[in-house]
Amino acid sequence: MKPTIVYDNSWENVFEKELQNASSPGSWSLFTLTAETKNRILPSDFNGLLAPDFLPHIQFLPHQIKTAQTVMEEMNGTAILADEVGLGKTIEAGLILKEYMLRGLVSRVLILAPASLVSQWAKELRDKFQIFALVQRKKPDWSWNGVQIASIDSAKQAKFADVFTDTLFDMVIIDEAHRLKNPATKNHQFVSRLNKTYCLLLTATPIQNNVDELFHLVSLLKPGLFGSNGFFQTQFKDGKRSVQNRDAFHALLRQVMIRNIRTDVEQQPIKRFVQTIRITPSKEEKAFYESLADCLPGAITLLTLQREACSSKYAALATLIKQEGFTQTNTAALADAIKQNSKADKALDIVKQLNEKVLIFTQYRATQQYLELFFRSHDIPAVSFQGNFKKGKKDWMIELFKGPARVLIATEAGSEGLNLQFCRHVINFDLPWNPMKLEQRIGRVHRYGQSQDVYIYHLAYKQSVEDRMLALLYEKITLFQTAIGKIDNILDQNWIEDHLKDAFHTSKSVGEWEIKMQNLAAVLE
Amino acid sequence: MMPFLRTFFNACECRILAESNDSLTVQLTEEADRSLMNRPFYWHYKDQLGQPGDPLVVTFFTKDPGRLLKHQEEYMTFGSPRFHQFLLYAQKKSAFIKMYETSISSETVQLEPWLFVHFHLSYEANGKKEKLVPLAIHLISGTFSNNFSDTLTSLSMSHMISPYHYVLSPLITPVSGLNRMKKKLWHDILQEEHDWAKTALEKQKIELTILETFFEQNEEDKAHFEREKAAIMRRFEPVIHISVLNGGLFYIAQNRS
Repeated sequence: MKPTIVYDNSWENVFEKELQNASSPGSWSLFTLTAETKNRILPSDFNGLLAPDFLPHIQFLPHQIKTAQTVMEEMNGTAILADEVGLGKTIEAGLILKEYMLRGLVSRVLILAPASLVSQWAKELRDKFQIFALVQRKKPDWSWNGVQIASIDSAKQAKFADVFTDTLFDMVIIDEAHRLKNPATKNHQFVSRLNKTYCLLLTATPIQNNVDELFHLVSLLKPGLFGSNGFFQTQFKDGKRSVQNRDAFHALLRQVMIRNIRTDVEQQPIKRFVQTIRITPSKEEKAFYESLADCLPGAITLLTLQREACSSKYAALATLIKQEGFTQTNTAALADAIKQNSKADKALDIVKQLNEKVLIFTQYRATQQYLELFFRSHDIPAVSFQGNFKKGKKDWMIELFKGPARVLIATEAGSEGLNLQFCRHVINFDLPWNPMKLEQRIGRVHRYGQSQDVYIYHLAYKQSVEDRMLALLYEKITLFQTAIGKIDNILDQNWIEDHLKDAFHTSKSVGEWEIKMQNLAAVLE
Repeated sequence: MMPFLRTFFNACECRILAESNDSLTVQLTEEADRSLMNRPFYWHYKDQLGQPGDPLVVTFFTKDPGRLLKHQEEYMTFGSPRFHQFLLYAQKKSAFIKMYETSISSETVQLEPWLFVHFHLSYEANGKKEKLVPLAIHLISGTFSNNFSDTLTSLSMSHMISPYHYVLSPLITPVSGLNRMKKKLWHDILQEEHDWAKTALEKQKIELTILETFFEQNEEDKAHFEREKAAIMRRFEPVIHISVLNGGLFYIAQNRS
């Protein structure tokens, strides 16, 4: 086998000219310096990474180095990076990108991220990797020859279609790639049409609903890995969420996907202390809670309503008030009688004692508003954070939290891309029914870059539905966590989540829910 | 990094104002400022006004100072674009050189011409490795030398020819000397074992087979298929690029190498 040899004549041309016109020749010391330096920095082997030595200011974690190396040496620069939240997928992608750039294999790069994460990408690449990327905003210039970052929504517009057809990107990186799971969407089609040599897809949740999503995601990178769609359907798919020929399936999946799990990669893990605080409700709160069964709106289960009430009366009222004539009911009067929220008092105690930054999560907008006012009325500067805030507002809220504010109150939607390593206390003001959601919340502070132990406080009213959920769900959380997460079980994840969802939404009473959960736990064990 | 910066700025005649173990402050010359600091508007403005410009004083840190950098402060590693810019600049400024051996002599010294080149070889497939091959040719006898730079380090060299020294005219022109070296290099490369290329082609073949299983034949698929196929070809196609990093004519006394 004789590889093609290509000779670059550019020096020769200069050389001939120099010989003729005897212009001033170059410097001897630069001549030697260039050769010596070049010899030092060039990649002398196909394998191994140059980048870590060239970026001495970053302490990469072993699993990040290993991931980058595997992607380069075995996956040839096309991979799905599917680490759990908070293990540094962006760092891994940056490391791979830097390595390819240093080796001179990649220069024109397109990074697609959700609009809210675009500036964060630019900052990480600049600060950590000394990669200076162009952020494409309102008037994008796609002819840029270097690294560029854009939101997928701005890039996929029809008016740019021709530009992208004619452009070859050395590398395309897509963050939150689970948004591409559906081949019928513009997003998927756009990415599929890009001309790219190397491609990285980043997602913590490669499957959300069914196995087909994984097929379509892999088809963006390596079409044919699972054969044609028809072949996949008959040979691998088994029902909506399961696969047959598992070993073969996983072996193939491992060729394109790397998933690091927190429990596997942390050698000296940041410790996580979880404390469940059971709160005795006040007489008024208890009366309100118990009256809920009497004024149940049609489409809502009692379980839902009770959980709202466990957060704050405002959360429940937001639902109840939609009923006609609600203000005349006994429940309304009981709500009115509640002057203090016992949970909020407890949260205040915690915040006061700690004298550190505290992140509070609630699922309900009404509770969030209430808490913000509540803390302010006690002279504790608090700010709110919601997923639907505009980018600038989000950044500003985080800056405030870094600076003067003591407390950040976030709703569930605020989770994605929210990096708060500078904070290590999380209060769960109310509890999600899905333990994975809880993991995502904690992942905001317990993530790459956190240097201190992390403290988590679950607040739950005694003898409420929350209390029973806690007992069942959170005592078994390790069971769910081990079942979910591992690459081999990535399919079961949906099955489990489906059951969790189903158990919560269709159960009429907490008792029914408990039975369903116990059944699920029994299966997992 | 520190020795690089020191040699670089000395060679560029920029004065080093202060230096510590991990930082270096330098007064740039106008030429260095114009070529390296990426501020064409400033220089254009000064030129238009006919005023002399004010070249910058810049501090380079080779260790992260752990604080926010001020203006005209930079943190520099082998991974910095700035470093690669400097290296490229150094390469351009020394792409071609001409040097003469000097000795203190009252008798005439006869210097013989050599062409010395650093070839840059890049082996690319589903990865990349590179190496520099220093090679010299005696432009009278046509003899090759692999360790010419070792010879040079023991000699004292100058840009100018010294008194009582004279040079022999080459029998082989520099251009054909270069061609002879290229031929030799080519020959040497073909003698090497190219397992890496074999492996890459095997992988490429497997990837193409996988790709073919994906598509059912129809027009819309065809463009998609071609696109993916082209990507696989790009990712795995083995090729060796040869270029010249720098080179020059060296005149040294007989029997030196």
